[in-house]
Amino acid sequence: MIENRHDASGADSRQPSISRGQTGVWLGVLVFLGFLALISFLAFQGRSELLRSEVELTEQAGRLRMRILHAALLVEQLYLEEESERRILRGQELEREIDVLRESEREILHSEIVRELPFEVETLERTFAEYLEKLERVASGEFDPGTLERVRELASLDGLVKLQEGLVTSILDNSQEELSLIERLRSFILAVESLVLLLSGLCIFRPMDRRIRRESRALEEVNEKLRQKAHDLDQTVATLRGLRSEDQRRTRAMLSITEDLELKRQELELKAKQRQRARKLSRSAVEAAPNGMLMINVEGEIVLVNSQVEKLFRYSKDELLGRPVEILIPHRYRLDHPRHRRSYFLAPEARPMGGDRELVGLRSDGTEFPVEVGLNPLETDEGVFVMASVVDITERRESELQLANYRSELEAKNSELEEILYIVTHDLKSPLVTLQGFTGLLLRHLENDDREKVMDAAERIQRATSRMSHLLEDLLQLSRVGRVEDDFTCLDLNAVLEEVRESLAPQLEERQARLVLEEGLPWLNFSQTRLTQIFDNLLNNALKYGCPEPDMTIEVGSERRDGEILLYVRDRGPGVPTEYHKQIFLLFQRLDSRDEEGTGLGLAIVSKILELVGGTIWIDSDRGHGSTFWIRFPPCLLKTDAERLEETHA
Amino acid sequence: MSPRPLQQLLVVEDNDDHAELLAQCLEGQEIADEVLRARDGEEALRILSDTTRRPDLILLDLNLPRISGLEVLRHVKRDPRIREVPVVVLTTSDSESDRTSAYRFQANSYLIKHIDFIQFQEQVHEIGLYWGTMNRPAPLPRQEPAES
Repeated sequence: MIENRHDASGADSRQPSISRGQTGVWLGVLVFLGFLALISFLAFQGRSELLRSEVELTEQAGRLRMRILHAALLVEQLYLEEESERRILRGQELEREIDVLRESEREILHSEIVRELPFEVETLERTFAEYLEKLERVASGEFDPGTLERVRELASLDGLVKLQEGLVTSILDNSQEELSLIERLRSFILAVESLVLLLSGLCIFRPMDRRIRRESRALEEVNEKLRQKAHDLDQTVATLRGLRSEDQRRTRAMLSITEDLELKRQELELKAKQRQRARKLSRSAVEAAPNGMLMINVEGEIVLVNSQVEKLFRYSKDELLGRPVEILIPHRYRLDHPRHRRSYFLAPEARPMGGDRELVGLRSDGTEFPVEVGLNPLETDEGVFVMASVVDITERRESELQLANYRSELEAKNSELEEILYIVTHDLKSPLVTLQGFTGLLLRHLENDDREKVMDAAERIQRATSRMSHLLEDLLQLSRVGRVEDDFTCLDLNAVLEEVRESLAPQLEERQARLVLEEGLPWLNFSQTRLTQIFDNLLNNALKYGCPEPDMTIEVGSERRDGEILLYVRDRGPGVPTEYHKQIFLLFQRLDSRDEEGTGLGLAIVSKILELVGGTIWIDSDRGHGSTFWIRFPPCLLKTDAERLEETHA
Repeated sequence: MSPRPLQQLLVVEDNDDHAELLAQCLEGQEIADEVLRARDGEEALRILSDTTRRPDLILLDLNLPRISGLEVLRHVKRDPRIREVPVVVLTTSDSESDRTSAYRFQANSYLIKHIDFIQFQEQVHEIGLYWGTMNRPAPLPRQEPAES
């Protein structure tokens, strides 16, 4: 009964409470709907915000990874391209930083927090959705005891931990899933909170319903756990974010270093390119140079040559590169050269090599040639080099030598001419003085009627005029030698000599001298005038100086000596002292002061004629033993018998 | 009769005509008591080596065979005994080089053989008088030859 009453009272009390409960349900529904809207709004809001920031985070992480990779590559490149110690150190530092970052990242990923993160959020959601349904049903009075089980299940959370590996993987892969999971978890927590709120609301409105109260307590426990989880999750996310921002900071720092390095690398690359281009250019300039160009390093090794050097020294490029430059220098200068070279490297300047010394190059075949070398220091990143430009001056030397020869020849000719001029003026003026002087005296003597003195003066005047005419004649002859073109014909020397003998007949008679001519003297291809001049002068000379007494003999003959035919004119006179043997062939040289007839030109004329055709004349004489003038004609002018026959027949 | 300015005059001349001309120039000038003639350098040096006598004036032709006039001149100016004897160089050419070398060898004067006889005679006369009246000139100041 009591129970009934109790039941009845319970039913009674339920009746009004139902009507009250109905109002409460309506209120509850309203509140619930309000919550629902709030929840979905909050969930949506939080979700998108989180999503955005997490997407950014992920992107940044992705970029970070790329940059780390890039930096590593750059470091690698830098290793390869720039061997500078500083850069290596910086690169290593960067590498270490990257390692540290990677390490911390790994730590985060494998931390417990992350491991505990993965809930089966979908399951949670699904459960939540079911739960909501049930709650609705509870709210509408249809309470399903299964709901309780589900809530317990939810509280134990055992099933939700199963797929954590997937989540870890997603975090490791840095995918967005990780973040969306966290996101979902958060909204779930919110949902649970609102559910708890709802239940508490129910508890308020249906305080008598124990099941609801139990349910509510259980939910609160779950909620507590979830909060804890959410809190942990927040912390994890914060840690992750912190790490990531640290990562980013480092990445930025590294990026700036990397960018700096990249800039530097580009700069260096550009410089290297320019250098290469310049080197290429200078190489082609060197190659195109008309001089031999070779570059040596501080050790004296040849590092660059152009093809001119190959031609000059007759080496191939391969034979020269890397070899000491001394191989191009004659052995006698090699010992000294490294010393010169070193002193040059100590104070390099652009200058010609060797100072006043004459430089000699050595070819591969051992021959030498005169060179001129210009030195130019080249300062490069790889050290100081010397560019030597080599010019073969053989031709210049030769032409210089030739010029010097011409000059000395000309100078000799000039001084000879001056001498001639001097002597000519003197010798021409000398008889003039006599002429003038005695003409003046002649007048005085005539006034005084001094017959003897008149005669003397007249004779002197006569002699002076004849001397002058001789001198002029001889000068004319001399000036014609070599100036006037002569006709060369085949001449019988005997015939020429006969003619000379005829012209000399008066003198021969005067001196009472004999002229003996050898029979069968050679024929000569010569100018008749010049040949006559030679023998006319020689015979005149012999008559004047070789026949001081009557009845003396002059001989003309030939003699074969050393396979050559020599002609001679011999007298038996007083002879010529040895010291005058050369002098007599010079211009205006007379040995006797009493010599009135000689002009001093005769032997000079003979000598000059022979000199011009390549022949020679010399004297063989001694005081008191007569003189022999030897004449050597070039063999090509002497005719053989066969040629002579041919000529006469022709 | 006043004494002549020169006791002894030496003429060194290879050309007989020129020597004769000089002789005739001097004739009647009453310049020298005695005129000696040398035909070349050798003869001149022989005469000058005679220690018993010394000419008061030497007329020296430059263009001599064998030993040249300049050689004779140098010999005279190096011999302390005859160094003070004045030497007048005779030449046919008025060339600069002749003149310089003559003075370098310390010739005292330089006379060009003039084409005009009267002019020549006057010059010879003047030179004779000049060196004669100097009459034993004071020793020449020591002068090193200009040649090295």
